[in-house]
Amino acid sequence: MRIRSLTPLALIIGATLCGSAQASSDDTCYPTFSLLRDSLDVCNNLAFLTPGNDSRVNLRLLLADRKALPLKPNALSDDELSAGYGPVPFAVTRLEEGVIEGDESEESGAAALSTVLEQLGIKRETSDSAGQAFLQGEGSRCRSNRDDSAADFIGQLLDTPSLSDAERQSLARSRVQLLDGCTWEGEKQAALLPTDIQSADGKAFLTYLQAASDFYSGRFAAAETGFASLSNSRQPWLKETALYMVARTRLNDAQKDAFDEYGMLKENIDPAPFAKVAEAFEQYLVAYPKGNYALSAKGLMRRVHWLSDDFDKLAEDYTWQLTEASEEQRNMTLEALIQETDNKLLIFMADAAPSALMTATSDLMQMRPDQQYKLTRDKLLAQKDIFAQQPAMFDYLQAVFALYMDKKPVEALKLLPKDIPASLDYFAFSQQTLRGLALEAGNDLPGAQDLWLKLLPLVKQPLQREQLELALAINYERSGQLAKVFASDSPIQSAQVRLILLGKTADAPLLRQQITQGISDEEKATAQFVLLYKELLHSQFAAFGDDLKALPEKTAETKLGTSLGYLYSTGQTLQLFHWNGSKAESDYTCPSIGDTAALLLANGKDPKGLNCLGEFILRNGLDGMPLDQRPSAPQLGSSEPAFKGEVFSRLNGYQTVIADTKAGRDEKAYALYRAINCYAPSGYNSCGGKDVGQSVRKGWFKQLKTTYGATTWGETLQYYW
Amino acid sequence: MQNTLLRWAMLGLLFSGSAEAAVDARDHDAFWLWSGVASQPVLDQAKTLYVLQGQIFAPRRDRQRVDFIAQGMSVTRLPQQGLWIVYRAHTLRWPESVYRQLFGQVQRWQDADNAVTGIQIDFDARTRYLQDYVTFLKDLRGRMPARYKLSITGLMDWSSHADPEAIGQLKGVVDEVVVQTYQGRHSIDNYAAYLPRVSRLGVPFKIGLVQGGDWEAPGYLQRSAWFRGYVVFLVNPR
Repeated sequence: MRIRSLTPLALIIGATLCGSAQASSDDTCYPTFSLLRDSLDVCNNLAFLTPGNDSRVNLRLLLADRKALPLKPNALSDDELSAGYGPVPFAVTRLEEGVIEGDESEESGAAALSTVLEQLGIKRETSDSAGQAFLQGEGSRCRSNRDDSAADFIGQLLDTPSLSDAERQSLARSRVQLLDGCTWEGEKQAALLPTDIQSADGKAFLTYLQAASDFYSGRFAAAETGFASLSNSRQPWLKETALYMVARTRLNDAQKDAFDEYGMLKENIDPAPFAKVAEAFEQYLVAYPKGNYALSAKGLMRRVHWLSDDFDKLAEDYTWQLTEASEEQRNMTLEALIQETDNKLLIFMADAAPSALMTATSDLMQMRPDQQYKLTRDKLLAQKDIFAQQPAMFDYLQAVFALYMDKKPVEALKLLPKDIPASLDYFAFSQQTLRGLALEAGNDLPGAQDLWLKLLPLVKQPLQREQLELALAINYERSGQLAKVFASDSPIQSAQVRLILLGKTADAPLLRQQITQGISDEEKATAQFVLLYKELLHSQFAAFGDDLKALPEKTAETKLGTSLGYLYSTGQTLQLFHWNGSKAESDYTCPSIGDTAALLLANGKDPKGLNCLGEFILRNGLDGMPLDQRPSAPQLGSSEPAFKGEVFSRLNGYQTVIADTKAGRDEKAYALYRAINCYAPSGYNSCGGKDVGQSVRKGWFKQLKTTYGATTWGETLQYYW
Repeated sequence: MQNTLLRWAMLGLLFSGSAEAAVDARDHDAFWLWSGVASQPVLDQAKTLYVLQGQIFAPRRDRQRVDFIAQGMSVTRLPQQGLWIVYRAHTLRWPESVYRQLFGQVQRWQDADNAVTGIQIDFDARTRYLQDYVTFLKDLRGRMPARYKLSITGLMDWSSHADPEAIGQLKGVVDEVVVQTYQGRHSIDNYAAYLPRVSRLGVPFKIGLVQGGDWEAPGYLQRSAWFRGYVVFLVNPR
């Protein structure tokens, strides 16, 4: 996003434009448990440098290694947990402080202003100021017209002995009045400025007020002339402030036509005027390297570089700010700077810049498949000099290119170190992770498994261990060694990872084992639930009957939500399998689910059994049950499910009954009634199974209304869909 | 990149490959302009614009605090006949300062010679928060200068899962609901099932579409007395 604004606080704005930095992750993020992804997904980041990570995450990993900003993941929020998240992968918001700096200068400014006004015996009519009316980060040059700057000015009046009391009063009153607005035309402006100033210093302060009001009003030529005339003022504050204001005035003038109607930065802006702006800021910074406005001037230089499309300098600015500047040398927090770097530089950076940090981050973005700017092998190889000090990073980027772009894992392996260092920062961890992924991509599953296991005791940085658990679990699953995940000495402790495997791929013996050996009550209950559910829905009625006997009369009331794949507050409990059918909501009576299964065990096409299994699904909201959905490769849980064959669908069941010439009258009528209702009210089938055409449904309806017209269901149904 | 509306943009891109009934912005004249979305020629034909201007949220590490940050373009003079100023709310616990700044900003748009129709609140009111949301909106309505209208974005599933009483209370409080045809990453592909209920809310409603996304208007929509047309969420061309 590029904005149209004439702001002295360009710096803050960058932080807020895309607005993602602060958004809580409550809305839209869901986890995808996979380590291999090349396209951007802000909801699913990993703890190693990869094209699939949000650029801000990759930047943070690199900054953590440089000790510039430690990685401090937030605890998982309730919303994240209810969306199914574990520790890894993580949404970009997990790493964000999520605190925009409050503007404390507002309160301190008001206090300072009332102090100086008190000394002059001036009372303010209102505590509002034009500059304080804006939102955090809203862009306007008017923002600096506020209490603290007025207090500075009036403080200087008090400290300048050559002024008469009357002059001090007039100038101070005028300054306070200027706080009310930001635009004054001719007469209005004249009326605000004092006319009784005689002394030389007094006139200089008056010139300043005139220039400042011209500046806020957008009359930049007049403002610059006014400020420039103070460049040799003997009043030191006026001299310094005017020098800074000359630069700010030029900047506002230079950018005034840079944006289109909707605030977008225009293409091909003439950089020439910005050179003069830069000159003015540099002049100020040379004269006052630690001056009152040095931070602002330095920050505004970024804006100059941004507006003049000078990406090399902009990359240098951000690199310095992020990795070298001390806190006193920064005009904003690192958090906000990361956001600004992304908004203003990384997403627009087509080519390499002299900064290795920014180039590496940008290269990773450009290795996504759907990128506007694409990295090519030639472009990458041409960056050798940029990475002269970091040859390992250069190798790493080439390895990423080999694996993600060229799909040549063998080539990637050649570029990655085999030796594992004793301690792994995020870069070393990335090298080893990429190696493991390349081994897996080359089908060397045992090699990768060996590597993941070797890394486990070595990792110390946040999120590394959690990522390794996921990597190892995926490897075990793909290697057909699921039992290892659940072995008593398994390093895989992440609840989400274990539960996904139980729900998606575990076979009956493993599930039975985890009913007693699960590492938590939730895991035990999940295993039992999955076992019973899958046996029932895969028509393994004998096994279901046996395993149902092990279900205690009074089951745990633990609600199984995300552990079964549900989102938010939805879920089931084991009590489900004590369903006794007694409610008969549609006047169709069913036995318990155990007896229903027994009917189907005796005869797989038993009409009552089929209708009642359907009733069980319908009444308990099991249509579209998440356990039946198989994740797509290469996600965790995407391997061939252990329970074979089709999942029972209500629609199929009803069709079987409808086609059964020996089925009882009520059974037939109810099957017709329910089958038609599968398409209510939208015309879409909500019962699973193979769709049938509308003419078939019409036929069912006719049959129900004629042959079975006297049954409850024949009487009640008025439509078909 | 996680605003309720913005996520549609991603969906739009997902679907943009599909040929069937893709939403062509040129067929419409009301648009959302979100932050980070570049202007495009289709804006010339816009009669109504919904312009994102800010976000209200409780910072993650300090849930007691509420921040209000600016988003989108600076206040400027826009040519459209109808302008809605949009705020994205993550929390409904607004301190007085938020109301003051919000109305102040709307006033600045008015002062810049714009035809400000009203204020739109984009809050992801999952069904369970709906009653709180209604209470909040009633209060907001009471504080708003009378000349402005109040619009909200709404989720499709309100009409099926929400407490009908809470929904009913929206009548007379909001002037319109712009119903999203996408929720989370799930496209509500059975919108056909929801929309008849939406039309029965008794509140003027528009349908929110995403540029390049899929849409096939159900026939009954045009017959609904409450249907007021579409708003298209613009996305950047690829």
